[in-house]
Amino acid sequence: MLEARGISFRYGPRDPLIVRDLDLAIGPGEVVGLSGPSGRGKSTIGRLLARHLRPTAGVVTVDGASPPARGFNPVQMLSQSPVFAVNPRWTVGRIVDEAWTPDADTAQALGVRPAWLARYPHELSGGEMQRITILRALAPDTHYLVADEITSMLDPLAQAEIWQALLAVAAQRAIGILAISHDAHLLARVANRLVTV
Amino acid sequence: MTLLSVDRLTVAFRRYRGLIDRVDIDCLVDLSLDVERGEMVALFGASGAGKSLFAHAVLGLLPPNAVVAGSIRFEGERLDVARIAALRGRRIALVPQSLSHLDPLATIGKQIGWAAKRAGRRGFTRSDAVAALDRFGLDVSVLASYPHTLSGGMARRVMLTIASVGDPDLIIADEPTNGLDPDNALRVFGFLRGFADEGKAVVVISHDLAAAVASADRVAVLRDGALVAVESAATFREGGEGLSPYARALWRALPQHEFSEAAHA
Repeated sequence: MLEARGISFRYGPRDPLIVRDLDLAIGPGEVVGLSGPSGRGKSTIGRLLARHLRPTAGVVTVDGASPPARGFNPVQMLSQSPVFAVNPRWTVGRIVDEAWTPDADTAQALGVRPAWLARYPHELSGGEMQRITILRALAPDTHYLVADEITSMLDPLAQAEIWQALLAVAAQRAIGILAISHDAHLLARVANRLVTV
Repeated sequence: MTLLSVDRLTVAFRRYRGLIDRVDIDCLVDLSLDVERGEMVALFGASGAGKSLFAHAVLGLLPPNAVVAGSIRFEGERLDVARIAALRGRRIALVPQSLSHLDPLATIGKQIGWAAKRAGRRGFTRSDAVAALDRFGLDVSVLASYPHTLSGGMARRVMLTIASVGDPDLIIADEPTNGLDPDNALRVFGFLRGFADEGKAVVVISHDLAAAVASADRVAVLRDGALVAVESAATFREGGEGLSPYARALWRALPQHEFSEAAHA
């Protein structure tokens, strides 16, 4: 269980609270949709759960414990713009290998072609790069994913393909997902349960 | 009446491999599109399909290593470097993609004034600026504010104000709803529709197919630099039976429809 208990967050002591006393739990294999208008702190909540930010109050736990500060993060973050989440001077193969060496089945399920691995990020399309960052995030020690608008830059076909592939792998490995999106129709498709901020 | 006429536009980028070998990488291929007054055309495509390149080509804003073939005409007259420089910001306006296109060090009031001056509006006063903002649901307090204090939705409406203050004939909006929630996105599309309804021609570049279909007259579908379909917006309904195969596959793949890849053309 990935759990946030009573978390609040503000950037500085004089800044307004962006997240206020929030409780949220995601079980293994569960997909929780997070929706709400711009500026309500959806992305901040995602970053708090992935421990890219520390809450000003409250705690985030993974399976009842605080995850270690160092080493592999069992909560992996996926963002809207994969190009900003990778090293532009590394080949795609090296980018994936930094986390793990994927088995052929997982790569194939996500539609990642072996030929891409020798290329650099700018030589792949946005949809292809998003498949790469998802593949990287699916290392064996990943138990939860925060998916923040991961397909909002893509066309509807790529969006459908990527979500179907991701949901299949997540179901098989009981990975829990927080799916953040503006698109109510998309969340209705992918999420088991909806949270609105 | 045809206002903008694009005929077989091809844009390539020239790169050198070593000292002598050079390659031209095609990014837009043989794109032909006419836009009439009173019409709103949505240019739809995935990221990397060449949508923004189209806007930059029409506005004469391509980088120096771009190689352009084909023609772009405005009111039948060819848009060469000098002509577009004379029309840009006056009769042809751009609604840019992001807040970073505003000057971070100048108030919104000042930037609206600059736009009016560039467009040749004489005697443009504070009350004219207030009226221009009011049209987009922005109040007088916005005049004195700086870009970084605006929300995403307000910033888009400020950019609509700046683009329209010179009363242009053609408005090109580049992803005007990126990052906006559905209510704000709907509002921006509504304003663009309003421009078309008052007789301007509008080209809106978007990757939000459902929103584009809801407000545009026609939807042009761009894929890997080529225009693969130009469809009447009204054809995008139910199962999309009247659409060309790729447009139909896109339509059916929307989560509010089948959300399936099986329909892939």
